[in-house]
Amino acid sequence: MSITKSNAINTLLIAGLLFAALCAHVLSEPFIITMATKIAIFAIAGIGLNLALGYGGLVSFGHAAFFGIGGYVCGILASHARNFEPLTTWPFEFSGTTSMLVIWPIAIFVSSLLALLIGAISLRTTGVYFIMITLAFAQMIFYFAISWPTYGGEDGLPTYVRNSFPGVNTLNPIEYFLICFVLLLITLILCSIIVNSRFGLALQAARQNVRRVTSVGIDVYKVKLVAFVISGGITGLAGALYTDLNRFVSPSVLSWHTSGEIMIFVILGGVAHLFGPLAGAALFIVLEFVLGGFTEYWQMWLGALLLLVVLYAPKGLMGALNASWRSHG
Amino acid sequence: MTTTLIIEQVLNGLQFGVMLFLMASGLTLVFGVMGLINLAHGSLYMVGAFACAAVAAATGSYWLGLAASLVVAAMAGAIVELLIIRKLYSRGHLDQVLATFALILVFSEGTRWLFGSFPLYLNVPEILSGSVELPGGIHYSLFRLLIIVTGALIALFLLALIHKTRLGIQIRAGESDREMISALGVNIDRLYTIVFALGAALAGLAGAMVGSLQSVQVGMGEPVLILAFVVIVIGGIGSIKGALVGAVLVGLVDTLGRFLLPELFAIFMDPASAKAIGSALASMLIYMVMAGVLFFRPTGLFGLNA
Amino acid sequence: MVDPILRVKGATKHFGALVACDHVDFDLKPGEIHAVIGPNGAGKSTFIKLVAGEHVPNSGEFQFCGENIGALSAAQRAKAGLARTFQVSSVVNEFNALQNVLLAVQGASGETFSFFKSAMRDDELMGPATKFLMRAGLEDRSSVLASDLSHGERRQLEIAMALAMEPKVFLLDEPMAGIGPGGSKVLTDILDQLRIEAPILLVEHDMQVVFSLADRITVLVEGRNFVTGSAEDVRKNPDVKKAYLGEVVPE
Repeated sequence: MSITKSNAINTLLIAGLLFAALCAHVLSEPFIITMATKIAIFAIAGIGLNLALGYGGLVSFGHAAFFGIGGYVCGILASHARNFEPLTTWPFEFSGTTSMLVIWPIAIFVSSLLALLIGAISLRTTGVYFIMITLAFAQMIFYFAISWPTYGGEDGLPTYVRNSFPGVNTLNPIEYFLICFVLLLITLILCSIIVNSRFGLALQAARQNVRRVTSVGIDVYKVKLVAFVISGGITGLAGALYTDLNRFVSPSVLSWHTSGEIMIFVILGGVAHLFGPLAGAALFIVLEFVLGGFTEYWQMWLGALLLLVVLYAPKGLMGALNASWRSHG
Repeated sequence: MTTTLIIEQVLNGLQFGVMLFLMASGLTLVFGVMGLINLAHGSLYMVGAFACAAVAAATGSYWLGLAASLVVAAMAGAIVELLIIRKLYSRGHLDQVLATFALILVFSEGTRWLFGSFPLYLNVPEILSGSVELPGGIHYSLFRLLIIVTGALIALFLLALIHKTRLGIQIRAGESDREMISALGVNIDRLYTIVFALGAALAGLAGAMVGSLQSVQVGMGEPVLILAFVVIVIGGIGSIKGALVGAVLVGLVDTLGRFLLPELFAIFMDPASAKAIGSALASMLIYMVMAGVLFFRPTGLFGLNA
Repeated sequence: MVDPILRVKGATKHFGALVACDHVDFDLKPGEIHAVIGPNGAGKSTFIKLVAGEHVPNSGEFQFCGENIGALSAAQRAKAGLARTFQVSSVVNEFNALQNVLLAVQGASGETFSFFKSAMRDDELMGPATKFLMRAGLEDRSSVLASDLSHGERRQLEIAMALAMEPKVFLLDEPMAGIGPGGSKVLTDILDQLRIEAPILLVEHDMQVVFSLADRITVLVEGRNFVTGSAEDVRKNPDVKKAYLGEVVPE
């Protein structure tokens, strides 16, 4: 695949998303803007997972844990700030915040920390065991969120209004979209840098040949763990953004369906393609909208479509696009 | 808290474990023999439950419903295997997870389309609905007891099948060496379809029985599926014996944890928070057990190298 | 007398009831090629894996440059200066030849956890990588994917990667496997050059190669030391011929 052509597809994707949101704004279609925002957020979550799954070969079926924890960090901080109950009294009193600039780093930190814990244990296993243990950890947190009543339990936790960002009216759909869009750009750039760095080289090599990477003196476990932590942090940021989009967070963001969906974005778009998750998330959400307009049972058709993709286009959308572009160009 | 209550909870745990074994045995066979992760196994459980409910409602016979759960789930399993699953054996785990996740969507929404979103209820026949008195004066539901016995019999049947019969030899050979077994002249495609259908039938039966205790509804297979995965991962993937041990362990730990943990916390806490913390922890307990097992034995209790 | 750089005492490894290595003693002195040979199943491969740290021994002492390395992981041993090649070529298939060597240079540098600088534009990596690729005779094939290289070229690539580690000892596991009797001229020459860099523990099946390169030879039979001596002694030892039963030891 030629680099310039795939760059053209990437540019088209990202410009398309921006253009769609801006058009929707001009035409006063807030619903479309929300859809575009959702795409941007899910793409960030997918980019996070792609780093572990696509580049590192770590098939995590538990990324809902990071997405959900990011979401809950956002919800919990905001709810404490609004009801003035201190979140902690020691070592200093902290009563939450409604500033996105504070919420994001905390969400990233907490979900990275969780990824460190989960990864440290899970990476002792490989193959199916890894898939299942990551799933199990996510379920553990899911059930905890359901049965822990302080933050709403099964009913979830509303945050009522969006958190604030200096100089921006976050409740205006297009302005919140732009925040998410810029974060998407930053995530994409960051990821492309990481993938091409020494660390990225070692990570991709470790996916293909553990023995070889070990034999040149690189600690594969450490490389994978660090990748898993970064991956969890990025996905956690997406979770925080998602809470603000909905002004609500509930245990459903922690459910294994969420893990499955993030995985679908990655695979639908094309594993280990930098822009794959964006393509996948866009396709998924547009499909949801289009199919949902035809039938209440749209998930059935989505399932059928996914099956076709897995069976007949295993390289995903980006793979197919690049291939057809090449054969026609 | 009385001894009677504890024994009753232990029996409930066993009954739950036995149900999990019916699910887990199919899952672990399919993985052991074909190397396939089948997330759609829970859908076959749901298919069995709906088949039982539909046939029982149409004919008025619960027994026909139970038979239908076996037959319909086996048929659904065979059809899915022939049409889709077969193409996935040579693929990586990632493709398998995604394709079978997609199958869940198709099955769940398809069932919702056919039967609607409201739960269906099954009436257990008169003779099974009472309770029996066990030695020691404990009264226990006859139907639950029957589930335990049925599950135990199926476990014995499966162990005998795997270790004593020709089919079992083929299955075990298939686990270790696909090429050898096809060189021996065994029709490997047919063997795979049979194994898959067998696992599906057991899942369907489990679905029908649990559906009789609770309710029959779309999505009922998913929580059970994940527990079944926990079971086979604890037991070691591919091992029927591991599935049995893991299922009973998970059944007991989960049931007793939900019962005992709140009581335990109540010793040193006020009742309300003891109940909250206790039940929150109890719902996480089996996952902690699983993480613990994998920490010390990364391939499960009875697993070979992954 | 020179102190050996690598000294193994009583290396033992069981696989269930099978004893693959049974109290194997071995040492490697600076500047030499010390070959380990033996019939199939003699425990040669297990032995090299024990030295590289890929298998955990049941017992045995492993000294490298005077330090006990028994507790080090495979990655740590590699970083300490034990560079190995594999019996079945083991390279990173979706990387090109240059990237493979780059990875080795990076591993040796010990700076893997750098996230922001492009590895392929890093002169500290690219310079040495290009140099070692050339040393192994692959300068024309640098942008070819490893999976598209020929069998012999992949062997050369393994050697380039081992060179890039700038090791204190080479552990070469059947470098001639699959090349054919006598090995390729290119590969034999490269191996002969290697000893200038560092001493070599050579496990090899091809007797012609062993006798043309090795200074000393250790024969393993059924996991135990059978004979250790100069190439000449081993060649003349009648017991060795018997142990090989039909395998031809060239005169």
